[in-house]
Amino acid sequence: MNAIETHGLTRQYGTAFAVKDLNLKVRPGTVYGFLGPNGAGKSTTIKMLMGFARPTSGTASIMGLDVKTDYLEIRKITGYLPEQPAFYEDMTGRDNLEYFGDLIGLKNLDKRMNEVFSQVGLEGRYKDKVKTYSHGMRQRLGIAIALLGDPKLLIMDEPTTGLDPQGSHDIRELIKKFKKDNITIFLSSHQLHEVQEICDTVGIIREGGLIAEGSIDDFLRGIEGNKPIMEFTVSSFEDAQVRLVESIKGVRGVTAGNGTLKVAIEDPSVTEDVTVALVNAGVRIRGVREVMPTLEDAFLKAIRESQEGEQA
Amino acid sequence: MTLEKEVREIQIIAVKEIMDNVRSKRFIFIGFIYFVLALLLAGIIAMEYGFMTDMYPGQSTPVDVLTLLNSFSFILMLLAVVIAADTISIEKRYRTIYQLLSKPVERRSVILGKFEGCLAIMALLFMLSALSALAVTAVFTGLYPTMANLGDVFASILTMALLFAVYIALGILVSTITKNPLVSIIIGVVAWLGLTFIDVLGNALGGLGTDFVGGREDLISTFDFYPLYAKVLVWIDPSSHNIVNQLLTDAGPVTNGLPIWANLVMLLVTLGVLLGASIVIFDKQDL
Repeated sequence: MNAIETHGLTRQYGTAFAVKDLNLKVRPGTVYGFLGPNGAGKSTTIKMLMGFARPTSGTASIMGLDVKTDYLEIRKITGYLPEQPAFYEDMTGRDNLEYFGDLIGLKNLDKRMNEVFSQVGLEGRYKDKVKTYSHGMRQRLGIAIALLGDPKLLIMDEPTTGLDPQGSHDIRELIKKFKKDNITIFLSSHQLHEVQEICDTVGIIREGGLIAEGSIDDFLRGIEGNKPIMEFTVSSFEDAQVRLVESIKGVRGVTAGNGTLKVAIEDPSVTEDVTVALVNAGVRIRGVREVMPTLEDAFLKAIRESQEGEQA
Repeated sequence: MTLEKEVREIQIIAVKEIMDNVRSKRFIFIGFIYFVLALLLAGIIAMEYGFMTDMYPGQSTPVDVLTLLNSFSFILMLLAVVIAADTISIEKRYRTIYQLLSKPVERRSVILGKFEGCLAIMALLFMLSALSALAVTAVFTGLYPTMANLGDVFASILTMALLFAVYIALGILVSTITKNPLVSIIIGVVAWLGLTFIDVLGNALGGLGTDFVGGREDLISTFDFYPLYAKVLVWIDPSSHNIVNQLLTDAGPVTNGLPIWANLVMLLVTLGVLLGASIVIFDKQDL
């Protein structure tokens, strides 16, 4: 039984599709990164999973429970961290937690509150009003509330957005700890380096549909077929020179950046051909190094291919 | 979900709603004005002891102060709409609704909890004002309420609570269809004004349309001679079904042409329709 499973999940607003025919499978105990550009349908998908919005068609289930009919059972086993979590500002962190804990119907609430406060590192501030909390503390309180019911699944919408590097790091460490505790985590994020660090599986959504899905390793390997990528640091270049490199036999693709050309090649020997071609074309090369493809490369390539496929 | 669990959730939400109102500046402001008004009325009556005996020779009772207080109940109706009008919209505006509904809570429990909390605080305010006014009157005039008087007071508080319930349900309905608390409060006040205007309009049209054949001196019962459309306009306003005076003064079995039981039924039906609509709309809503 999958932690999350959707079949043909669709949400339509008038003639526009926010989510279209989405098929997802999230295995229990994994961390699933749900990626996509703004407006791709990530939040709508999460809202349908949580029962905040109704699917127009298709099905979705969490731990085998139907989101349309078994939403109360689902909420007992699911913790949810909304994007920019909101609280009752005039209440203390502890009072917020107590209110939600009461609604869950927790026994030994005091004990559980102390546990989750300790887990997220908010022990020292739980008696303060939420309106005095920093962004990072609010995020921790949001996670504490999500953890209250001892969930099997955590759904986190942009958990590190707006946090400073230390705050982001702390949240990543928490997520890793949850994974060790065998909690399935489904998170949407724009922080691709973080997703690469903490997720087992990634799904990329564009215009409401899933365009790529796989484990991080398979995903990166699949992007360039486990072939080398050479990064040329150059003084300047023009489009014609990029096209010249693309035409070299053994070159799989070129990504032009700010003062860099990332060239995906069939084997290391092609590096010499590219170097010679660039020098002959008048490009001054300052350095060459082999780089590993990142999730960002994979993400951008998947989006680009999806757009090209659409145009074709 | 068991009924017991749902009732418990409603209580939890209601208690939070009461605490939110106790801390709310607008509730404290309007509630304080009303409370002071109640004491002021009692004080005036106490100082002008003869006023009651002159006005109701041989019939003065300690609860007469409540009939005067009832004349100012429109303040409470307005307060009831205002405190309820942002109960749901404020949760949407500040996104706390996502935290709330990510817990195993039915949406109808949220509506009913908010309703119960608002009703409790309004009933408490009225009860406190009424009992304080009675106490002041009793201390300064020596007119102490009898058990029968207290029974009338209790019945008045109950029927007044039913009236509050209708206005609170109206406020909650407005709150479910809006996302901005300020907009919902404005719409709530406009709805309250609209109902009051319809009532005034009904009375004006009724007065114009009444055919006083042979000349009638019994002006109190002119409502009975209103054309039906004018009566309906008056009945639309829930405050026209305020039967507190009838209960307190034994002024007769009817208010606005309807017997007491019919007024109660009208209020209950209106309450059911407004609360039912709020629950259905909120339940179908995408957040």
